Amino acid sequence: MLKRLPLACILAALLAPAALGQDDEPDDGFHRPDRLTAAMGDQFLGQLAPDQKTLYFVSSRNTTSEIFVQDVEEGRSRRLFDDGADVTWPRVSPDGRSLLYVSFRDVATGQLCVRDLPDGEGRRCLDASEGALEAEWIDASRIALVSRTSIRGGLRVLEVAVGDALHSCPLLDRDVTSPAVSPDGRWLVYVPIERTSSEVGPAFAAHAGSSLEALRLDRKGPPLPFRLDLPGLTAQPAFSRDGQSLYFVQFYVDSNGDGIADASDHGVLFRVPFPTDRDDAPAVAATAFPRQLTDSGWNCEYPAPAEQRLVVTCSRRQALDVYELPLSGELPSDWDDARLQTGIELSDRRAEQLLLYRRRLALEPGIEGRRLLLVRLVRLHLDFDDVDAADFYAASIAKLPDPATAGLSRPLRILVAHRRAVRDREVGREVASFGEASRRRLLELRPKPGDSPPSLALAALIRSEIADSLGDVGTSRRELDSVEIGPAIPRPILELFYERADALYRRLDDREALWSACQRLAAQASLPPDARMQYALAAARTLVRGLPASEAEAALAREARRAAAGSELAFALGLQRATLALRDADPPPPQLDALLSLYRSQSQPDRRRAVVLEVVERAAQVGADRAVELLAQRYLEDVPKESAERRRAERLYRRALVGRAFRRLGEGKPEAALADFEAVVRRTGGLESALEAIHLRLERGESSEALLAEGTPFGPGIPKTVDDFVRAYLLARRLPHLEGSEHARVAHEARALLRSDWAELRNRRLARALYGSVLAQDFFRTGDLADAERANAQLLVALELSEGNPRYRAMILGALGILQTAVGNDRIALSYLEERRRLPEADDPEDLAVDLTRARALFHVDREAEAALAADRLLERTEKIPALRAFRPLALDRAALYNLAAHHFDRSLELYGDELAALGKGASARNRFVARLGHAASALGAAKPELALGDLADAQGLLGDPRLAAAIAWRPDRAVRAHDRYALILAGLRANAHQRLGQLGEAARALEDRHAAFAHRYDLTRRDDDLRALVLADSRLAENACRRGDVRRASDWIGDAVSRADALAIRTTTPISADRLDALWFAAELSALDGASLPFDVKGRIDGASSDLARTHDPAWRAWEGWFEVYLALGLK
Amino acid sequence: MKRLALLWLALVPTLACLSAPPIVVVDRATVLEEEASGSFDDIERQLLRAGLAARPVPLTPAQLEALGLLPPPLVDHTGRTAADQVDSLLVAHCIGEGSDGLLADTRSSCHGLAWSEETERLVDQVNQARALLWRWMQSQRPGISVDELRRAWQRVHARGVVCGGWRQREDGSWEAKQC
Repeated sequence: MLKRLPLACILAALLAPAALGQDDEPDDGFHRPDRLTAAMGDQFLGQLAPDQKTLYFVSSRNTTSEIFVQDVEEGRSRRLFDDGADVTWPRVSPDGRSLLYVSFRDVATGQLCVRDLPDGEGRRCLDASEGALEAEWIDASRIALVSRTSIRGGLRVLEVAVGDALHSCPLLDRDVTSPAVSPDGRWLVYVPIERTSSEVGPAFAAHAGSSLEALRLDRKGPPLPFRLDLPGLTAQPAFSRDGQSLYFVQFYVDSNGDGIADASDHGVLFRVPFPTDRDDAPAVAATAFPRQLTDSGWNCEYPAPAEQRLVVTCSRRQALDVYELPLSGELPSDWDDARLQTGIELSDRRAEQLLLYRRRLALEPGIEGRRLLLVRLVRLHLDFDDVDAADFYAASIAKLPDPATAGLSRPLRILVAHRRAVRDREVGREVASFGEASRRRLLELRPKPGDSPPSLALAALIRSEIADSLGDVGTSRRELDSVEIGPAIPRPILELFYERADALYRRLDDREALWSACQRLAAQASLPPDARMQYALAAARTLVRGLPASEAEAALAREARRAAAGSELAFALGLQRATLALRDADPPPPQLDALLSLYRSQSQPDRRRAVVLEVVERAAQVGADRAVELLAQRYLEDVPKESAERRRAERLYRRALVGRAFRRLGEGKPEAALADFEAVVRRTGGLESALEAIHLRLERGESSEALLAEGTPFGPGIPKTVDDFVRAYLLARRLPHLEGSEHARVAHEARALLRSDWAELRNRRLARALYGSVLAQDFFRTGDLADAERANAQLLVALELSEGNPRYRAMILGALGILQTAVGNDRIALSYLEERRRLPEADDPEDLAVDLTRARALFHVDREAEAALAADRLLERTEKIPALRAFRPLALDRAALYNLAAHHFDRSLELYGDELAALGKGASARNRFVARLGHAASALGAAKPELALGDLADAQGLLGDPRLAAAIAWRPDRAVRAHDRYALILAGLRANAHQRLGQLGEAARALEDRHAAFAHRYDLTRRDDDLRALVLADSRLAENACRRGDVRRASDWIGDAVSRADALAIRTTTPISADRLDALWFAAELSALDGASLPFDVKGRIDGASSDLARTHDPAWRAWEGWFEVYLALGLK
Repeated sequence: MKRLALLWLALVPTLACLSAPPIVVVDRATVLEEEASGSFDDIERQLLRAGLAARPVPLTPAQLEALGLLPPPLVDHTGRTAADQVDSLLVAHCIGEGSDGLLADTRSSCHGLAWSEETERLVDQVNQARALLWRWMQSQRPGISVDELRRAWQRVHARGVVCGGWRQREDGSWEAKQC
């Protein structure tokens, strides 16, 4: 369910990624939702303007909800206006010139407002006491507004006229939500809601109705309810721009596992025809077969159809973002039944299988076929524990009369009820009544007149399952044994039979019974060959499961003699013998030849496929990679390019060879790995393999320029997208070495190559990552934050697309961290970099860059100790790994600095010593100077003041070198010269060092130098900071004088300190400040303990300060309060 | 003395007097970098730009498996039954056939497959079904205890355990069934 803002519903995070394994390169042809927004926080309620290029949406990136506008091509967004409070529900008028929204600035319950586009000016709001909830444009000058009369009051729909002001009149007095107005203004469709309680307003406690209602706006008449042919609840209707369809969200899968499918589960998008020019449009919608657009693995709501795209809000990884997808949804419209079936076989996600089956159902012309597909849907939903949806489809079967399969609906619905009860029992609900209810269901499953053979068989299977769950194994077995398998039993029922037999007979360890059941299934002529083959293979596996090799061989031989020649069973038994013989990781050539011969001897495609899949699976188990690769290659060569089976063949080949390539890389065999990657590219056009291959060629010494000059590095016949991507990648490789206009030109060319194939590349993580990388390189050149923002957006989308692939995630997390640090967002950068660190390191400069960035980010968020640790690790890597040695000077310098900042003085002293030793004659003057300075500070911190003084003398000498002046570059806006600033630092350190050595006179001179420098600086800048620094300098000199026994000088200095502190207090209008209090405190000490005569009324000042502090009652000043009382008691002058 | 302590606090910024005064225009870390870090612009720039390159990090299969991340399977298993899944988990040593006749959680030995909530549920369901079976067996043979019947069942069942499946020895240790 969407998170609820005060009145609007937005998606809440439900989808958590289950990264159980690495994912493969996407090859299934689905048009998955494409992310449009990428920023911190949530982005939702997106809508495209009529120009199809401008996206409006709500964003919480700045904590409050604000409306943003984004150029879809550019990817950059900006706040449209600042309303001074939360806003939501942006809707663009049909002519694109106005934007309505709900504002909470002046009315806590929401107020309808309108602004002009494109600038967002001209705010005008509806002056009404009712709270505004949702609104939609009727036409360019009228709005339908759902409003709430009061907290407990009902909802109603108002028609609001938009001009210079907004005026409303009642339209519909009904509790409704989600209004949608057709483009021609004739229809208003909404979700009627019913109050849960008459005492509580519907906005707080209500549930959506199970149907929609449609109201004519162009003439009077009652609302027309219509219910869509789907399980679950319907919400958020939205009309297509051409007025022929209605999009909506359906909640019907129990994605959160609470046993109820409701609006807190995943929203799934659908579309039905709704021809608004027809009076019976609601009836058309109600009788139509809704087209499913997204699979239930996605959680998407708030459809906003545009001319060519559908904009939606989806929840992924705890955040909301705006996405787009084709108007026809994830599945291409041109997929036929064969393509859909292959998709089902190759999909490992039930949510996608459901989507594919529904599409098959839509295409299926025959009633029997539809009924059987509905049985499939029932089973899939039961696998999901979606009992309500399963029951819906089971009930739907009864609406399609077919004598051959009559009576299927009733037992299926009983099965659904039984599964619901089993699930309830598992979670501790309804345990006591389970037995009685189950026995009642057994009775209900008794045969009835008119039941067809399939329904009788189904009923027996379900009785077997129920009896099993009651612990009555005997009855369960009898029921199962009684099932008659024959040509009248359709495939879905036979599948259920197999499932039951496999479960029960294997638990009873009745090998014979299961073997017999599989045999019978394999012999069913009514089944297609590939289905018979599956049961034959199951029979063969059953025969030998768990047996010692010799017994297995004997059993296979025995049954092979009995099996009908040429039958699927005979084939399966022979195949099982061949695969079981495969026991070693390195089978001898004759064995491999035998396997290939077995494959080649098969003329039927399903048998060839069976050989490949069974042998590959066995070979993978024993590690016989050669067998895998031989068969995968041969299979790919044989399968026709345009066939549905080609996808399976390519996938197998790609996985086999890419797996081998990475293993070879891990073994230090790059050439062999390169050959594998290139083979994958040539045969399957794999983008990611292409990148790996190119990178290996670069690593072996070929240049980007040479590869670009080759034209098509992988030869002819490679898809254009792959060629263009490779060229863009090679161009991007050159960017770090280019500057100025050449950099801009090459970056432009790389981007242009990607955009020329963007329709295909936009959902490919590599393409997004490369695009983001090019933009990030642009940012490093230009410093233009717009480039950084664009780069960030691309990288965030790439990160989401890389959820299942740690290699890509690592790359993108590192890039995001570097980018965010470069713009100063160190905390955000750290979130990426810490996640990166949870993945293994690589021994290359790219990874070192991530470490360096992480250390720097830690330093910038005041986690100095961790920064020091990270930098130490960085240094260690540069010392151990030859490829990283060139970066040691940088690592050494950073490690020294961060350890110094963390007050690890011994360590920083050691590191600065190493750095000074490493800085040769060619080192820059600046580096030698700052290293010497760092060494001095470290020595002081490590209680080695004499060493520090030696360093400081050297540094002073370097400071006087004119070559250093040229090398010291500082922020140009600083008023103070870098030289003067360093002089200040050196004086301060010298003073501290002399102080440590008890050389108070020398310390005084250093302090006076420092004081003079501060005074000069203040004269230049007149800044509060510098005045404050002077106060401190005065205080230090007073302290020093006091220690030298020069009370008079101490008095003079502290007098100056107090005077300057008073001036600072006036400038900053902070009468009470630590600086001022400290100065007064010291003055009080001098007066009370040393009897000093100060140039101001100490007693009076302390009295006054004490009273001021007492009035504040602030515990922060307690220490001063206490001591002032003591000094007053001791007596002040 | 207190006054020294207080002044020490005031001195701290000057001690690291590479630092700026307490209130600064830019943040302290930036000032420190400007004042005290060495200039290695070229190699730093080279390094950071390398870090932006769109090249997947070359993690080895062994590194990924150590993280519990498995490569996609060569063969997609869309038609597997629950018992087939149990076999796969046994072969991967994620679960084991205990000497008590029940499936045991041995996920610490798991390789090649990932443990999930569904795995736990499957194991529970199988074990419950086995327990029901033994009770039924006892109802058919009232003179024999459930434990004896369980042991007898387990002996027969062991013969059919998939080759390579994880099973418990008498001494409680685990082994893969050899065929």
